[in-house]
Amino acid sequence: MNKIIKINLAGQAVSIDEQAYDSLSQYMRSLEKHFVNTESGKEILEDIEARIAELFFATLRNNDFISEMHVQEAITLMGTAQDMGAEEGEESETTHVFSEPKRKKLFRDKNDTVFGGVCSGIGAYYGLDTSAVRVIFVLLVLLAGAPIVAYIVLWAVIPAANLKIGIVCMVMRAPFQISQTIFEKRQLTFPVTCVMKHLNGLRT
Amino acid sequence: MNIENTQSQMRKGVLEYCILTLASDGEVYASDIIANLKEAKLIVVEGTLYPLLTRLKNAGLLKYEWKESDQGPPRKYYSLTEAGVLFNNQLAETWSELNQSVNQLTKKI
Repeated sequence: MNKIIKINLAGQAVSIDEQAYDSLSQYMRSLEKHFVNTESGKEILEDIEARIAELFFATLRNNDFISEMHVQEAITLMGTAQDMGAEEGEESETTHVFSEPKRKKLFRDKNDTVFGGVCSGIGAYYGLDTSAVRVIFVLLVLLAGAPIVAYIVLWAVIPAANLKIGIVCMVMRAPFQISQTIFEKRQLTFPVTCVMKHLNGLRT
Repeated sequence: MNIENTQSQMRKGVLEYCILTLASDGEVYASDIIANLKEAKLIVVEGTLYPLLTRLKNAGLLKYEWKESDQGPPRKYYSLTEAGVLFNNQLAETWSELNQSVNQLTKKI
């Protein structure tokens, strides 16, 4: 026994089996992921959705609903995200965007702050636990005191990023194009080696 | 060296030429382009066509118009832009040259 739901597919109402709906949305999500970095990716997705709707309506009779079988047939016809990439040559470009080593940017994480988010930013940059960075920082303060000055300097110097996407940007090395443009406007490259040298210098 | 890879590279170059040629026939519906390409065994899965159409459109070679249809919602009908016609003519020349060259070459051996 399965629930039948009504969905909007490319602007048309379609009755669809719940299980079939899950398969279909999973498929569409995989395509979405695939085309996220492609120019006019949204338009491509809309075209594909419209084509799937067309395939569905070609086989449906009155009072019929879309079942898992219909969805699987449509997916076989359309091909998976991998098929589309491989045949069209977009795949290599897409992976290129992700794999291209890109200089990491240092941001203060405004979502995770005690004072200014310097420690969380450094933690995200190095892939370290924020608490660990904070503990080390506090220890340095207790030992030498000078890092407080360094902290205030870093607070002023490192640009803030208050979006989750900013962390993705730091961790993944290759930010999505959208986030890249967001950050390009206010980013300030500040190599962390320099920061660490600065900290070390102050401590000794 | 993977044979499928080489085959798909060969097909890929010709595919753009074929799509433009199909669109030069006036206004064509994407699904009709698909039907033709499938019949000619130039594409295996339909999904590959849509990124290509969008790319050719973004490159200014194709344009589309929305047209009402008897069944279902309005459809996109593709046709060549002026630049597209020029581009297609040049591709046609290249193709016939290539075709000739390859034929000549393979006949010799």
